Amino acid sequence: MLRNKNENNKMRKFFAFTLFLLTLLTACKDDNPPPDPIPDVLGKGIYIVNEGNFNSANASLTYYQTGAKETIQQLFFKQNNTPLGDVAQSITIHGEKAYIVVNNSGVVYVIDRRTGKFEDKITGLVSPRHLLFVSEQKAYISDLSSPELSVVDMESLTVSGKIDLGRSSEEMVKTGNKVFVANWSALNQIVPNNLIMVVNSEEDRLIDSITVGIEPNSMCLDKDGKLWVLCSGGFDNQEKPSLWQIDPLFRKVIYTMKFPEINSSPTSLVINKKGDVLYFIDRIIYRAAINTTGIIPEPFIQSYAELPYQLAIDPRNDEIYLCDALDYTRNGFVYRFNPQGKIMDTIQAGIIPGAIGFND
Amino acid sequence: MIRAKRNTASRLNPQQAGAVPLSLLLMLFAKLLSAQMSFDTLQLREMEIISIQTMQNRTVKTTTIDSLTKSDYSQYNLSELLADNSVIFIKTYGRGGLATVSFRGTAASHTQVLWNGFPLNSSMLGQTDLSQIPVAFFDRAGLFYGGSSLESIPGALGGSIELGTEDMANDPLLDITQQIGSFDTYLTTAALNLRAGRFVSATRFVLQASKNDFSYYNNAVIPAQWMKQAKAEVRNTGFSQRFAYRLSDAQQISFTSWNQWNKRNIPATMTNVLQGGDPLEYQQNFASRNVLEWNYNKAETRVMASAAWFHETLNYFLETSGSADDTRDTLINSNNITDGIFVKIKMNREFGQGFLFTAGLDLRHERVRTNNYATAKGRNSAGLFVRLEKTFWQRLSLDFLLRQEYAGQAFLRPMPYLGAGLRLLRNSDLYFRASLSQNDHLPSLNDLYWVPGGNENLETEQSFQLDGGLAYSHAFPFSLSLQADLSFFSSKVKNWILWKPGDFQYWTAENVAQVYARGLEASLYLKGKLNKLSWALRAGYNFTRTTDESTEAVEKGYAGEQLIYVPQHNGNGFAWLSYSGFSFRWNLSYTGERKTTMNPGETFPDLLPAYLISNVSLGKTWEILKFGIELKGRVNNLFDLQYQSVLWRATPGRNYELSLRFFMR
Repeated sequence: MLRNKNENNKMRKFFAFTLFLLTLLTACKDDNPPPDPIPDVLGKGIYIVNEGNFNSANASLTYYQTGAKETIQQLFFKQNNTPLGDVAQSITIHGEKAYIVVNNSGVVYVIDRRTGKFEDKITGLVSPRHLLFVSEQKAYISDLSSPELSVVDMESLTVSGKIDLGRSSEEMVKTGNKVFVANWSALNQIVPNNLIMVVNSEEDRLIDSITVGIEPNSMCLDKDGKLWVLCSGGFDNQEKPSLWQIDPLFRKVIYTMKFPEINSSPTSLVINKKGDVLYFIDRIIYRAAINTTGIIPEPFIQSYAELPYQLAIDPRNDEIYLCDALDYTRNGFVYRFNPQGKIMDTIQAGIIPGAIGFND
Repeated sequence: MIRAKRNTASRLNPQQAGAVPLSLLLMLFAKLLSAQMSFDTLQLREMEIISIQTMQNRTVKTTTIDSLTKSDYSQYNLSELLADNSVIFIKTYGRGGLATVSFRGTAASHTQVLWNGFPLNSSMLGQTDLSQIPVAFFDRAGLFYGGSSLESIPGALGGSIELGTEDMANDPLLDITQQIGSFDTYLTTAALNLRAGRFVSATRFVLQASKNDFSYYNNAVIPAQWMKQAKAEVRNTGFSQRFAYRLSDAQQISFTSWNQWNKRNIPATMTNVLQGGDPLEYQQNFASRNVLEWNYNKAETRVMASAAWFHETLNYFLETSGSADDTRDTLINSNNITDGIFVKIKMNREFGQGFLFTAGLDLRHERVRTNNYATAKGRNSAGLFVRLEKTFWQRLSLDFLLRQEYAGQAFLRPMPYLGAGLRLLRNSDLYFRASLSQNDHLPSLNDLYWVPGGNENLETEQSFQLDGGLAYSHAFPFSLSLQADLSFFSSKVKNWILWKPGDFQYWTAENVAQVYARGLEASLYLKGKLNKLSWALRAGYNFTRTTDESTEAVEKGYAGEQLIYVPQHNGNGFAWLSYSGFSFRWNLSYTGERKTTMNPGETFPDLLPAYLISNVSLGKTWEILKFGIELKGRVNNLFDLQYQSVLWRATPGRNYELSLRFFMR
């Protein structure tokens, strides 16, 4: 009987102790860590938009101050205590603001370009890719899965209209009152993705289209106002990649160059400040001087990136920035070169650095 | 802004779907009363009711979910059962969402989930969605760690989860439960067990529907705000039917069929709730799994022959409205049909005391038709194994198994398992065990044939495993018993398959990683009875390190980084009390920090915080003669913790369930 009592007491103590331990354990609660200090005003530098992985919501914003050579990772998260979202696609800097298009989140974040702090957002977008100002009050936003271009009132930051293109849209270039829109993706369309569509930006209307190669992925204007279009030939190598020169005034093809290898996949066509030398990525960086007898791409910068992903040229000084996505799963790098192709900096970025914005 | 036309077909109505009308139940009950009188209670085969948590035979580690826990979780799915009651890590994409398993730090495809001996893993993906396996459709569940799975199936580099149906002698004749829960959740389960002479019939039915519209604090949008989870409806309907017939004292034949329809909307991640176009994403699938089995069991010999046909269809659908004419645009409509035909023959015989011989043959045929492959693809494979187990002096056990597989017109390397167990003290149940094994895992058909990126030149993943531990059990006075286990494991996997960016614009499957997984597992189980009070306590803890040690990882500086979504620490436990018809259960489940990327960062969001979830339940059972009623309430996430299992996937706070069960013995 005595033993029974002792056993009961021991058991009661044991239960009480266990409950106490469990209560202690469950009282813990994790919160997001406090943001690191950021300079009040960001110095001159570049925004690196890191796409992140599709459906993983791990896009991020890196800022690199070119003078101080200082890198701030996760700028958007640290300044706003909110993730940037799912697949940050592009950045447009206009006035005192930067507009970051977050594709799979269907949102464009408007931030103060001097601080990275959130100011506003544009919503109601299906799968936005790029934002282009066509006037001080109006911008177009291209879309990967919608066959329409969104027209946005940039004062109210609302979608004020749609332009029916009949197919998806990607990069945009404006010259005069015409906007040239690339149909890069074949998603949600049965016709080939080989058009540059021409939109009248005063009437917000599709007025024409120009047939180019399959999958036009990037465009730029040269010193003579001619439009250059780079086509990869399709993700499954349907045809040889090609480079096209177009007269935007008459909307006619002037010159075409086919790449010799069907298995190559050139991307990211950019042009220097003067507008007379083209650069693009095809495993390494190529450059090609523009002249009247056609162009001959020559290898320019080799062996830096594990996975060359995007290219940008600083319009202020012709410095070249090469984004390296590594294996798409780890933080990538951005390499900074002088105009002669000599490495200047190696900048740690986020997952899949895919766009660069130049910030004075 | 153009708004979409609603897809009314996809909007589920849980109120209509979830509840079986009371009148129907009463009619069924009246019928069964008369049926009971005409069926006797002859039982075909006693199932061993394993009331202990961990069972060590001498050389291998297995864990069996005890019948008490199984009964407590009969209204849940396998993901919830294992998350609360085992220390293998369940990666879940939120309530009602995809749930996969990481066993001993390996990938989801490295855990084989078997039902009545045949694999539930998708031939396409190689993994199993545990959220779509209701506990109601199996009677036993066991975890087989590492090489101990080799007798049942090859390729379980982490281990296997083996589920089975049994003819349970003490199952109620009729067992019906209606559960209602937060977020418009309704669940009906019903079981009907009939016995007549040599014949047994067991019918199970599950109907679950949930609007799943829980509130959560969304700090992934600006401004941060409380939101309701949208487009997350879930509906599962299924039934299983088992017929068994005893041909003689030694022979039994059975047929079991499990058929299930699932539909779930896939909600947006927390960052994507502002997306325009009213996107609707859902997955619906149907599975029919049918097993025919013959058993011979006489004296020292047991023979089992079974054949199965598994048929699955899966449709993944995504649509938005982005067009001016207000129509819906279908972005993805992926249809996939999988068929598997399997044959399994196994024989074991005891030659003298302590010497057991087992041999078996497996034949498998898998075929996939999908618009994601260039053509229909299939794979045939066959396996043969022999196993010898011998006990010496009642203290030392040796266990040798050799499996040889033939797949894809080639022999895989032999897969041996060698284990030893030693009773350390003559008068005490303290055992030491150790084993070595080699195991190969075939690439999934998606790894081989997906367009684009599938790679037909992939090699098998090859593992070498070392496992060992101490197990102790003891019975004390006052019905107090204790079981404790401490294990270690070490596993190296060569040719680990990862999808990597290729030279073009898509990812390709490659044998790239050399993964090293190692860790410790500890468990303690106590139970006792004092007068009318029964109680049990269990605690388990896992430490797992899983890293890529390939040359590429070393060169690129990420060797030694823990693989993503494999927690180093996780554990759980429960306290259970029963007194005079009342029962109380408190479950705790701890998930340690998980990396979300292969970056070295140690802060959010590269590292997701740990969390500890508490679930409590209180029930009362009334039994009069052969009839019983049980009323049970459960509170999930008792402390209303806001947490993320997967980055930016919403999870519910505190929520409630109330169930009413009627059973008749």
